[in-house]
Amino acid sequence: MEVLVELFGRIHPLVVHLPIGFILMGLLLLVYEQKVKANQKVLQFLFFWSGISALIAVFSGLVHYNLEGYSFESVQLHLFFSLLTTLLCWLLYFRLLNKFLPTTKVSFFGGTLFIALLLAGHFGGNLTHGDDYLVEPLPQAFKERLGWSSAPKQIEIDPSQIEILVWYDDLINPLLQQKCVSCHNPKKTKGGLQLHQYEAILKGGEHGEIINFSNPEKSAFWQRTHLPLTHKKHMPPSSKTQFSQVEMTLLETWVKEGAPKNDLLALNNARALLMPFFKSNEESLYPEEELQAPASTALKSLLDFNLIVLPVNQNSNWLEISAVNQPAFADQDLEKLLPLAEHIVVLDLSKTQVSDAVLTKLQNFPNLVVLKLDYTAVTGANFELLQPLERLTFLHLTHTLFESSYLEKLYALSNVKEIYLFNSKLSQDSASINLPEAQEKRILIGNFKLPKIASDEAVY
Amino acid sequence: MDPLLKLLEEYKTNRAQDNSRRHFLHNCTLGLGGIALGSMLQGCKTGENANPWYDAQRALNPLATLPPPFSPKVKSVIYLHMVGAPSQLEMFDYKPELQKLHNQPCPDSLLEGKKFAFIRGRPTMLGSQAEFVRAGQSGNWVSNYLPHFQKVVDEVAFLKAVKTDQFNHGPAQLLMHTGTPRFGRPSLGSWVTYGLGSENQNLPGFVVLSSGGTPDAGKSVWGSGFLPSVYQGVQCRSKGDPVLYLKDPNGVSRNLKKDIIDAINDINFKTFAQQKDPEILTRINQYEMAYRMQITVPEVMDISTEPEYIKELYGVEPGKESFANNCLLARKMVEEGVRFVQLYDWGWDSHGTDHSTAVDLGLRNKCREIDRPITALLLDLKQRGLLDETLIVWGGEFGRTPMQETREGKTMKYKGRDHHGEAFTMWMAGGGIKKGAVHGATDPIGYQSISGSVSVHDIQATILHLLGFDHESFTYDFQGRPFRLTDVHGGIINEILA
Repeated sequence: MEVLVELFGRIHPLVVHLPIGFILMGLLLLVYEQKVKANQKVLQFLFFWSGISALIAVFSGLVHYNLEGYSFESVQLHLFFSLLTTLLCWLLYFRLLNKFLPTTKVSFFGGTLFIALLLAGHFGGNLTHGDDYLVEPLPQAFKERLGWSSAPKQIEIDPSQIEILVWYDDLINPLLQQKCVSCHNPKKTKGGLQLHQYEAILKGGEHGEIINFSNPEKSAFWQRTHLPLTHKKHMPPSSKTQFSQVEMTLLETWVKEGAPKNDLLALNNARALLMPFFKSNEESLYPEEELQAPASTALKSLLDFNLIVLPVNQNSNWLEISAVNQPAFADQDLEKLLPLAEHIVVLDLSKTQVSDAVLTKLQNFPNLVVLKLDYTAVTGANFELLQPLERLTFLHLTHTLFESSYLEKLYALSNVKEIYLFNSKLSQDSASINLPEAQEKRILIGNFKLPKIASDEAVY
Repeated sequence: MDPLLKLLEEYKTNRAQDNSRRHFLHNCTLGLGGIALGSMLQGCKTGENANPWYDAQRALNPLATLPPPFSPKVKSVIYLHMVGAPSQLEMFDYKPELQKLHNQPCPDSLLEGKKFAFIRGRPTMLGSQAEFVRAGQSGNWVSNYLPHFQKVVDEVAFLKAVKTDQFNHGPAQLLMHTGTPRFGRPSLGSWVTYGLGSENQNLPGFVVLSSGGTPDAGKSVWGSGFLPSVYQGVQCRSKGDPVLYLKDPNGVSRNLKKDIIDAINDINFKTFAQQKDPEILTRINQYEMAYRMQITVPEVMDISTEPEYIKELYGVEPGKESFANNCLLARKMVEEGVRFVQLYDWGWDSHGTDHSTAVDLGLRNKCREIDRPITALLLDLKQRGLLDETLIVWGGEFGRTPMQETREGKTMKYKGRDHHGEAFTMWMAGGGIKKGAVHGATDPIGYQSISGSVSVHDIQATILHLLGFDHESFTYDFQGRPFRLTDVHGGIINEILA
């Protein structure tokens, strides 16, 4: 008998489609009837069976709800609109028999029923497919604008925050939310286990506690996740997304540490443990927007001048220019590049004859990202001219005549992320230059030394 | 007329008469249609550049620079190959369990179904001869054989479970550098030079520097295989003439050489005007390049002009052939716009047959020889702003066993390890690499991988990816089919990418 009841519950997803079909058919006929007199008897027949099948659907749904461990909060909207749909079916049926509110228009009942049906169906679909099923395929930018952005697929950690991370909220919970909670939550509680909250984890599932504090490796949580992927009891199930190696290490460490909740990560290898989760700087180096193709006559003339002119990739119109084969390149030659000024994102003038004068024309290159002036005679005297270059990110000034008195001008270039000053005049002038703390991350003077150590000479 | 020639002439005439206009139209109409269709559909084009304008450049100069298919993370590669296969167990793969099993007989389970290059009978386990420390902020393990390297360990990403299916040096080196254990395929550097060209027109795009000896697989590991030979690696020597046969012969002045080349090129140009064969232009280009290289190569190859503190940083010995010199040269080359610099260092085959191949003696000396130079190379590239646009790859052709080698079943006087390809360590550093990452792990004795196993083709795919190529669509047509470096294998190792 129990089996039959369970089966009845499980056919709910099938049965619900019967009233949907009947109701839609009936509603279509109602609309059609306004033009051509359709048979009232047929309409009555349709809505009678709509009502009957809706009742069956509601009952099977209730059985299903009782047996599968859904929470009331999750099904309440679906239940409400399903009941409303059923009720409206019967009201419409009696209205068609002229036994109920005979003066009210039939189309009023029809319209309400249609809306109720849509909502009941939608909330039912959310239960089986997940809340974000419909919006998931929309473009990410669109979702973000509407404030629907879904949780990131990977946990991301800001390296500077590492000392204030707490175990559960910052690390373990995000992992479990991604990989476990879809089956172990109050709505759907496989194996009687819920993993959506810290307290629920400690409570365990139908086979008891899942964390063994005295012997972490004997924990059910540990063992089930460590079984071979092909094993029936392996978690997450082999068809679902698995924990990566680094995520496993993190979970293992957590269990070994006694599954703490609000404790800080007081481990000496915390950095190594978390490094794989550090935010990656995936943003593209070059501007993202599309650009018109550069004029081929302009390209040709630069090539004839023996410059290397290359798109940053085969499908890009952003250009990289290098004067590696044109050591005679001088300040006034920059004018030759002006026709392509918009296109140039990388400009390498290292080992050429350029001097401070070249800076005066550089502001005409609004999209420069990388500027290399290594081994040139620039001194930095007029570096405020680089201010308008909003995209400038990398500035190479090694082996130049850059003087320490102009450092302030570099500090003011706030959007530049990396500045290289190795072996410039500045680094030869004074042995130690104290950069402000904020600048140390951006400005690299280098002069690295490797001290002599005893093993340098040891012969074994 | 000679009767035989007459017969031949008659045969040719008959053959020619067979090929009448009527015959041609009758037999070849479908073929003509096919040719026309092919040119309309462009369907069979493979491995060609999407930008015809850059193709035109290539037709004039086979080393002309080309844009990569995707925005690259790095512009150049420095590949450090330790010829002979360095022992991961004495350098990077810390195995305290193996220490405990030191000198115990190897259990059958490790030997069953396995074939070794030299181990016969039942060997004993050999604990690591080095001491390990957690280095840097990443806390990654490095042995005391590499004290300097410990300071830059946060710059590199380790692959702790690289797998190769070759256990002899030659084939394993070929696999590592050409994607197959057999001869005849282009090397990694050749592929890259073919795909991207060479920036500095006065220098080769692909330079090979070796110290200690030539790899077992010979020059094929930097050969161009079926690619045009202009893409093969150019071996530069840090002692004597940098490039063999580049210097003018005795009694020939540079002016005379120029006259000779001009005269040859003049004739070649005239032939080109008649024949329109682009191969002739290639040849003209090569003559000119060789002439330019005569000046630039000796300049770049001269490390004595470097400032004293740089020489100290690398620990170079000008005038000698050493790995340290080659590291400094590699930095100079990359700074000058050389695309691919391949370093080979000979002498890592630590079998324990003598003092120099003992893992506690000779290997330690080899580690000392590379420790400072590699550390210096990373630091020097960094301070010049080049580390972000250069990829540094370190590795051997395979790894070494956790068992002590028992050559022909005999106990040996020195401690050594046999060839082992199941799981060994390599590392990468530079642009696009996740600093301080570790991917892959081996079992407690360092014998097999337990996770994150990567193949040689995975490494090649990753290197190509960082240079802006999709290893699956980067092909060259040869013998009727497109070939790729990674054959039908390989996947990008995302775990070590930033």
